[in-house]
Amino acid sequence: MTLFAASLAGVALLVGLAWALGFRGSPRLADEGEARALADTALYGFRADAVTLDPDRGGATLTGDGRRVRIDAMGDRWVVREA
Amino acid sequence: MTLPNVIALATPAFVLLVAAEMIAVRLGAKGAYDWRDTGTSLLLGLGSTVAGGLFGAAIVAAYGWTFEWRLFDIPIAWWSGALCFVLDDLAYYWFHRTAHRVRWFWAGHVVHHSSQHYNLTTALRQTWTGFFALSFVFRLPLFLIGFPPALVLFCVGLNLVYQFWIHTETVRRLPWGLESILNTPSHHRVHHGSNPRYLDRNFAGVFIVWDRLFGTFEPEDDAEPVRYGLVNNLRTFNPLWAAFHEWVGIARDVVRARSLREAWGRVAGPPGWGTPHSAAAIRARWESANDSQAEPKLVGGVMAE
Repeated sequence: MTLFAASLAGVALLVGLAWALGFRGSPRLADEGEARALADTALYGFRADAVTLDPDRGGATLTGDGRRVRIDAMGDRWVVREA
Repeated sequence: MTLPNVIALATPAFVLLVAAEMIAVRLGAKGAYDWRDTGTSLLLGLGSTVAGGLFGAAIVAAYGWTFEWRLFDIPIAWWSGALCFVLDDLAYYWFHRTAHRVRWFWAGHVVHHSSQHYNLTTALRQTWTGFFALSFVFRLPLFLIGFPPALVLFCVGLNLVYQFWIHTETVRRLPWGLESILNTPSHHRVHHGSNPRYLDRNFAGVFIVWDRLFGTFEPEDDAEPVRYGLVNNLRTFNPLWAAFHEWVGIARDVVRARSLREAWGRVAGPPGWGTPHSAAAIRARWESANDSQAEPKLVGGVMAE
């Protein structure tokens, strides 16, 4: 139990260090082109007909090829998945 | 002869090296961190040690039982240690390759690939369900040959400790021809890539020669930066979901299967079996697209542009 508690403290220490060093960004989409490029890259060959950026540009919804795709921020990265 | 627990001995160094890498990246070294991703990786690492404590005795018992049927009596010595290390690495290669090609094993291994970052904490992002996935069976032949369990476990520890340091972007290439023999940060970055070119490549633990030998080697192309993570990345940092999501997916797909064949394919086929999202399908589309771009097509006996 002591070892587990010490390990948990070590985890907290490193997570705190990451936070303190500024590794806590949230990305924003620059424009529709970036959203299209992200979807094309992640879903190899996906071509969007329409792109709707979220108001805060922290995500987007794309449609095309009969598919609906969501782009969401995940920490400092993007997650692209079929909705 | 008592052999040391190398993972326990190395753990303080793991912590210090993670901290050092974070600071190096902050100061401009290549690499990336996110505090939430770091937390998930470290909690998964901590959880894997708990799982090891819960199920380790059963695995060691299976090793001991298998050892009873050994073909040879091999002593613990430098030469047997070296041989055991190489053969354990070969066993690791086949475990690892199977873990990417058979969904049942993938369900245990996927957690290690579930980060979109590639740093030293990614090395610690380990499975909680390796026991259920039966990953340990790949090592059984070593005990049948006659390597003592203590020696094999020592080699397993060395192998895992070696694999820690290759999870980094701060090291580009190794000198002196080492890239030809060893699994290196460059080779293993490729393994963690979701780019079609890099999918299901470089399964080595320590020696990259296995990939070269068995046709699964892919060099890192500096013109194509690695996109780390999964084909379908997770939308949460919850370590519980990271640890169990593929098992949930298997259960869901088996329940929905319309035939026994489909159910079997969802369990024992490759991840994404029966969908356009398997690594093989994605790679085939990529190769097809590349071929059509790279090679002029013969149309009506004339080379088309």
